[in-house]
Amino acid sequence: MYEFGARPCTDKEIHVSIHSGGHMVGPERYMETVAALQPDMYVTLCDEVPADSKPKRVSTSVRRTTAWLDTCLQLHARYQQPQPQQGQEQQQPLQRGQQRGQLKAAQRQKQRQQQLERERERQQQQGQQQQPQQPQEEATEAAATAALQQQQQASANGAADGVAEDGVGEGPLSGSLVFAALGGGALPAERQRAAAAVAGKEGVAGYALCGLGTGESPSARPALIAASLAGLEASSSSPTAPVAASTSPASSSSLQLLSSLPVFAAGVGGSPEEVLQAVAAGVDLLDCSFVAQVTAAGYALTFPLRPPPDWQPQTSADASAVEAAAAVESSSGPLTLTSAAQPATTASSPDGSDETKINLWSTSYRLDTAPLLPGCGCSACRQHTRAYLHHLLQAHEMLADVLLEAHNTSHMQAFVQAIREAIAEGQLQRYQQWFASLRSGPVLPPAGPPRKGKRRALGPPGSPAPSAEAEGAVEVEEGAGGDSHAKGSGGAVALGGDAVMAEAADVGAVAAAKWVRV
Amino acid sequence: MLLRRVKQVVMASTASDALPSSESPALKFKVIATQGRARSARMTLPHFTAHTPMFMPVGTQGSVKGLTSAQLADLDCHVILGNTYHLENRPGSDTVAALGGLHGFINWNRGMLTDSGGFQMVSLLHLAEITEAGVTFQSPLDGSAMLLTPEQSMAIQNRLGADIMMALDDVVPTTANDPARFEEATHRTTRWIDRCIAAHSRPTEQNLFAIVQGGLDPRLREISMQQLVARDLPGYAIGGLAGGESKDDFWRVVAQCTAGLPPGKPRYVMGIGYPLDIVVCSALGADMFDSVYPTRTARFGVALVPEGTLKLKNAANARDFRPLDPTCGCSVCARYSRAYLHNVVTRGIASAAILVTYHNIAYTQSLTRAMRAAIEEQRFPEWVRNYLRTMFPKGDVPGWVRDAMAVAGISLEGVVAPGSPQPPPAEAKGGEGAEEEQGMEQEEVAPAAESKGRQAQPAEA
Repeated sequence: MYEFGARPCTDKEIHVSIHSGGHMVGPERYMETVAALQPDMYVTLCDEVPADSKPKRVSTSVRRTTAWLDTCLQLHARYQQPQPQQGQEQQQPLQRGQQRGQLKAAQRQKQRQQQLERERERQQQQGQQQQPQQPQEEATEAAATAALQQQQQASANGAADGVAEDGVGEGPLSGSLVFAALGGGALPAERQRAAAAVAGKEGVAGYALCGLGTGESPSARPALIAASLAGLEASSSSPTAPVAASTSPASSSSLQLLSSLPVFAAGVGGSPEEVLQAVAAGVDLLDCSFVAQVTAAGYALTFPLRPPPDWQPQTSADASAVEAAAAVESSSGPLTLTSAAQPATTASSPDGSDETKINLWSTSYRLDTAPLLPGCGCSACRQHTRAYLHHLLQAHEMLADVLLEAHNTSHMQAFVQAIREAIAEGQLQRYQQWFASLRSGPVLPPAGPPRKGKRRALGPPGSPAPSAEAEGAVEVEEGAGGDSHAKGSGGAVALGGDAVMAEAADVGAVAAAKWVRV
Repeated sequence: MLLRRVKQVVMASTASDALPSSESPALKFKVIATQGRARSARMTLPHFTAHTPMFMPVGTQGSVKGLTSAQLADLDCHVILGNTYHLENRPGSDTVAALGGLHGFINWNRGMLTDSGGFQMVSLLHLAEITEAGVTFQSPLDGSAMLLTPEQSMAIQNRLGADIMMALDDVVPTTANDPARFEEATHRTTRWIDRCIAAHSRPTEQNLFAIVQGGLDPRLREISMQQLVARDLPGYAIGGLAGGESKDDFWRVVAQCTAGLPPGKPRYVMGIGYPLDIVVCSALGADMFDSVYPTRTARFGVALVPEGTLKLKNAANARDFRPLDPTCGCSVCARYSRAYLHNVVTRGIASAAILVTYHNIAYTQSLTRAMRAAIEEQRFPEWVRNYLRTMFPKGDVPGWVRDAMAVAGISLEGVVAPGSPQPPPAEAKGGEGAEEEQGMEQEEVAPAAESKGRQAQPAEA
């Protein structure tokens, strides 16, 4: 929605840019698409505007989004009923749940059979050594198989008969949760107004805060989130919302309001700090572009997940840093810049690693047999070493991305688990202060000549196309490994490098590098 | 002598005392069933006992393109390949040795095979030349002159630590029209095997296989076999094929070599990856195969199915909600439809390649598993007939397959349409066609081989 050539949005439709080009989409077409996707939850159509939009534009977007919410809710009700079949399809796509149930049952049966075959082959091979244990193993295996097969039969029959929860007779959006889009740009008053217009509407199962992460300062975000939540509470028809003590002791007079329905915010997951900040402000669901960003640059996340038990805030600077970031209101306007949320740029070593992440491109990992993060239980850390990851990156092997993404995703999941625990223990503020004390540097793109010839799926609109040259590329430090490479074999850096991720270095692009929200 | 050996193999029964086997310092090979010339065997290697006939996926740079070691084990792979040239380049065999050998480095605890490095050099590098000393080439990093000798190939492979290592051979592409060169290469390969044997420093932990050369000349192939067999190595490969020769020539060389090599030792046809070729070679008595074909063709969106290949980019797949292969039990076929895969493949999403790769490897493993079972259950000819019927429903089995099956002693009655005309000899039905992807020996390595795209490897010496 921000790129050159986008057509302006109207009261009837927004402009969407996808791989097939630009499209004008109104609520009807939008809901048709949603119904085809059959999601578990979805956001209603939103006229999303970037943070620097003029007030008049913002207020127009709020008006449209509110009007579209009503249309979407009506259509949502319509899509609760089964739809008449469209046209003559070769294969009728099955109802949601039915198809999944059948596929899963078939898959389990086949896999089970194959496993049994291979077990038999293996047992034959192992022969005498395993003889005494075999009868027991086979007996338990047989029992487990029988039980599983009975289960599969039941579920397969159930799914086929449509007796399962999503059987025949249900509409495409039956069971889907509607998240009402709450706009308002970067103007707290507008956000509050937008939320108030929507609060308490029947059929809404959650709220989606739209327009965040579009260029506003991260330190201004809590105020914007709070404004939306305040608008929900302010409406007299809304159910009584739970309240919580503010996370900053200094302003104990103002209570932070929480929504009784789940709150989703996209575009606020650009870093763990931002995730933490959004959660502290009342957000429940977030997407996180951080994982893809660090993976693409060859990093493995290594930040600790819990403060040491005896950790205390060292200085008032820690406390005020967090307070500034979590401020409920900011008197000088929504776009106040503070230094609190800016990452420390001196935290990185020359190869881009720091306390929170390591850069596997660095030749310092050439012989490192440790896992990416010692103690991590993810499949990459359980099975492979830093040395192998380093090699895979240098060799441009796909497996590098696979393993790093597995680890980084797992680490972020563990991170939010730790946040949940901190909240349950009433320790969120301390957790935030401790996390802010970790030194973290920016994500650097790897050095070297650009990769030729590989097709890359384009990112969401607004993110720059992969450039041919690495801008501001940082030289990967040559470690002490000059030894065995004297003959010229195994030279690590000259053949390495991948500049497709130049966008990672562009901090401005980070804000735009987020999912297209529907 | 050749004929007598052929008769011996053909008349082998399944009585256990007649089944061939061998024991070498680091390898035991035991044929457990035969039918015709085909045999099902167990090959006990230092790290794993593999079942043959088997297909070995190629993990050129220490990774089978996007799949983890755990996935390869799930897919029932017994032996995988690493390419010596690439691994010596990056990260270097010293580094690999320091990290526990190739097994420890990539965390693969089953069988591993490394090639000699010679073939990659000749096909990948400009100005690579074979001399009596070894393969001379320019270092890709700094252009300096380098030489890969048999001794160095052995040293590198000893450091990599694979269960099976290949001798450095003098391989001439079969399309070369230079009989003197083939003669020279045959004899040089023998001289080099002696140098390899002398330089091999871990004969009780790693198996050195020799590679039979001789081009398409039966006389040279016979000489090569006799000379190599006299060195009593744990196993033998049939090299110099899969380089652009016609299928008629190809199967004849395989047939001659499987008949001429000792029955109690494994026979490895290098560079074979088309499922049809695997079936034909197994019927002729071969045990091991490797190729980048299944994994590479996956990255072009081509899935291997019993009918042949499925080109996922084809718009016909856009609304086809069946799995790739309804008879396949792999998790890709359990979870994804052709329509979904068509979508991700045509949009160039990287993980699409991994999904199709996963299925293609599952396919090759299930193919070889089915062949082994059919041989062990004495129904291999019927299995072959079913396989060919599925691939050639109109009965237009290529002439070379018919000829090869005749020699293998497998009747194609009910498969071949009576009176159907002989197709031209160079066609290989069920594959990509002779001009594409024949003779691939190594995976793409960025950036060197990228620009070669879908062409066959250039056949220059």
